[in-house]
Amino acid sequence: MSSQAAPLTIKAVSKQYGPTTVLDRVDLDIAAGELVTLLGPSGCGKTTLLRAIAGLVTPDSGSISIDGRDVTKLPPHKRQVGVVFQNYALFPHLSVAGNVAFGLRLKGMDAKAIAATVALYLELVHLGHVAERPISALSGGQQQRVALARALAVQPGVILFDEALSALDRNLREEMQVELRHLLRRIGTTAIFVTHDQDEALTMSDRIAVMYRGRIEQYTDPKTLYAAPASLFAMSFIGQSTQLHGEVLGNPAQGMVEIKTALGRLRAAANFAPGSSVVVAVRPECLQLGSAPSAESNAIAGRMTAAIFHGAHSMLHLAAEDGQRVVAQFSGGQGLPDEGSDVSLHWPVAQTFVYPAAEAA
Amino acid sequence: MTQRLATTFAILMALLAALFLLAPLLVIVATSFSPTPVFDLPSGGLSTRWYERITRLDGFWPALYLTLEVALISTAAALLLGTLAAIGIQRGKLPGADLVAALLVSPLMLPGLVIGIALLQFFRGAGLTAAHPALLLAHLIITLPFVARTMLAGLSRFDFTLIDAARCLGCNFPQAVVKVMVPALAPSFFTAGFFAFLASFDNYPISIFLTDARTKTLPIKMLQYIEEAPDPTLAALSSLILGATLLLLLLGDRLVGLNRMAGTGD
Amino acid sequence: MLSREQRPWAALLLPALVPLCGLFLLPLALLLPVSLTSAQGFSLAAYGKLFGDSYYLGIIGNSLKFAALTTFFALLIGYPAAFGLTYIKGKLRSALLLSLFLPLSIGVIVKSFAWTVLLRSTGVVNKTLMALHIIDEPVRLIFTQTALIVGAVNIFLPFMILSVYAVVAQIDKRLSEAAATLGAPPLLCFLRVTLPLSLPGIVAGTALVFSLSVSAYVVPTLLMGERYQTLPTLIAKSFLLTREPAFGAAAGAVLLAIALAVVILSSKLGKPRG
Repeated sequence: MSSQAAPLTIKAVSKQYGPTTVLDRVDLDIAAGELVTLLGPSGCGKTTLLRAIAGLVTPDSGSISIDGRDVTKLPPHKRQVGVVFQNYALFPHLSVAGNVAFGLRLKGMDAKAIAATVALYLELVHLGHVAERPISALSGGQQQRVALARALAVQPGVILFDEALSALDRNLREEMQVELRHLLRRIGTTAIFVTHDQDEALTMSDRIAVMYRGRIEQYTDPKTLYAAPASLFAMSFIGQSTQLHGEVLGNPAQGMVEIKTALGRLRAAANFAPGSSVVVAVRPECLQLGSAPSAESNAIAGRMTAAIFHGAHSMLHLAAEDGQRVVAQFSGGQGLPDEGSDVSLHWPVAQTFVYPAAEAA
Repeated sequence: MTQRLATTFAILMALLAALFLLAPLLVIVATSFSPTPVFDLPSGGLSTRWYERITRLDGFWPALYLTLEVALISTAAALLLGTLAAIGIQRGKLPGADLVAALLVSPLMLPGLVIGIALLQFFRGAGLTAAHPALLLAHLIITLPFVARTMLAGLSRFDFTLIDAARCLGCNFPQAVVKVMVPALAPSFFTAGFFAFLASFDNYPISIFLTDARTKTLPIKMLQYIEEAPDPTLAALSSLILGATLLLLLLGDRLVGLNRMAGTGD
Repeated sequence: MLSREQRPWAALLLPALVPLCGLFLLPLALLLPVSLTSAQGFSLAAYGKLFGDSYYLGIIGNSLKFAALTTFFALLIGYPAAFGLTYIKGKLRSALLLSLFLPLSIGVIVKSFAWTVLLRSTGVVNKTLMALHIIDEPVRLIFTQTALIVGAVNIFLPFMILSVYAVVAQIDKRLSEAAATLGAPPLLCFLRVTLPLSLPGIVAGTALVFSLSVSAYVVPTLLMGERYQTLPTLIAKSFLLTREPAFGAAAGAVLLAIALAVVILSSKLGKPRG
């Protein structure tokens, strides 16, 4: 099928509900055929932004352009934007085929063409065999696929997913994530996902826009987002991390800081003035057992409080006297120290992140 | 054991209640076929003479026509006004929506008789002495609460996201309402219309104060017949009303399902 | 007062609210002045007559007593019957629902008339009792207070059953199962779990049946005739026969007050706690 993917440009979009600013001058550029996720906690504005793109919400200011056309003032039915809703919103009075054909009928296609298109898209989502069934006879996963087929059948330039997978159970959800990405790539439509599930975001997206309090905090590909979170919020929201409060002691070299924490002195590549309050963060999988073997490592020591077995990996918990916790990840479950014993951990200075303490909200 | 006993008792009560409720109706139907003018169960053979006599009852046809006309017009008006109001309440998130909803349904809970005398005084004071328009206006108040109650319940179960979905698939707002909301609400619409129509058709306490010598509704005529000269013709008339209602109910079960009309189960 | 987004929705309410206020609230409100008017202007004479004469007080008492008895027996039969309805499934349940809806839809006049036929000295009940040799001669059943209550219960029972059923059918059976697993015997399960959960249905049904029976005109008129005066018959007489609008309006105001009290009480009781 042809790719009619449209690029999307959002400029300075703002929206207020009463005293609350839900969207705060949001800018976003999405290329044609890209899969982008809006990721953030509830209340961050991601759903409002998605609904603004769909035309179900009108921004107070700013502009939205799809395929070069300014659609900011256009109602939803003129925008060529497909939406898959969280509760699927399938029409209960129509059969599966009837639902998928809904948008096609509005376009004035003749009956034969509609039937062929419906069959095509149902086959695409592996539901060709249930075309005549009523919606109530389908499982949640099947309903989700029908919603998808319905949105895709009208060949929109952009398709939006509003927490569309959140109602599925975990295994099904993971399966759908892979399948969805594969399908969207094949069809070539631009897609925007809204989710609060960071695993889903990492799996499915070309780029992730991390949102917090109506603003986009960081907009980059998943790998960069994971490896180099630009803010403490992004670091906390994506993946796990160990975070230690500390105070900057000095700059031992150009672009380096030395920080005093409850678990020892640490070095990192960062620019902070001495005396600044900071938070030091590191990913659990970077930590290794043992004291620092080289000058390029940071080291801490503490008492182990727990080892939690997760099957393919285990998480080790270390505690400082002031209650701050360190979390380390090791593969498998063998050869780990006993609970209660004193443990040393080290990790590369290059994998150390430092953020201003004020960001910790 | 106790649980089983309780369940059996409950089921027994339900069956007995049903019998208790149907008994008088069965007697009426039986009596309507009585060969003699005495109100008796037909023991000497069946006769349909009373059914023939219905049409010759004094003032029957004008009363029937008037009652049907008033019921249809007021139900239609109530369906329109009541549905619009119910949509506004459920979707509008307006302050005091609960109060408005209670107000819309309140005529049901208040004595029809008092509403009747109030309207009598009001219309007299306003100079409206013609019975026909007075009846039409009054019956709107009878039918509106039934419609409001049923449509409010139906709309509370309606998923408004469906309208968003329709709009994103290419419908403008009115189209989305027609294509998506109307089919979803059709059962509630039927139920509302059904109860509203019957409420108007059977109404006595309000109608009695607004009729005059020439304008009488069927219920008023029937009470007149009963008090003046009761004979099995009335049993025949009642049986016909019974039969028509039964047909409507069976139709309702077919289209909507009695369980849903009772307000439970979808 | 209303935001820009709210205004179109508020506009939808207007077509219904206008007739409601003009043809319902306003006329009802105007009843009060009517009841306070006499040939000399403002006067409490109507109320004085109503509350001062033991005859009229007795009539008010009649109405309340009649309503209370009807409601009580309707609840007694209707409450278990509603539960029974939830235990019955399939076609039998549809048939039972039909037996509830049919009497509801017929109208009070046909039903009351049916009872007069049933209770006549040559009617079915007497005939059956004689056939079973319980009595030798036809007993006068019609125009007795017992017959009135039985007939009224028969007429208003569907309202009670449907009100309770609407609530009870939605009670999650797993709740009493949970109570049982926590050690409660069946009686306690019922008293502590099922009964409180069914309370909104009981309140709704009781309020509805009490309201309907206290304002009933046709039922007492047909089943008791002149012997049993109720508030509604008093009101009807005042307007249609004796032409005493002030007195009738006063009686109407009292009836309205009773009905309002029922509504307010039931909405307070029917609200779930917490």
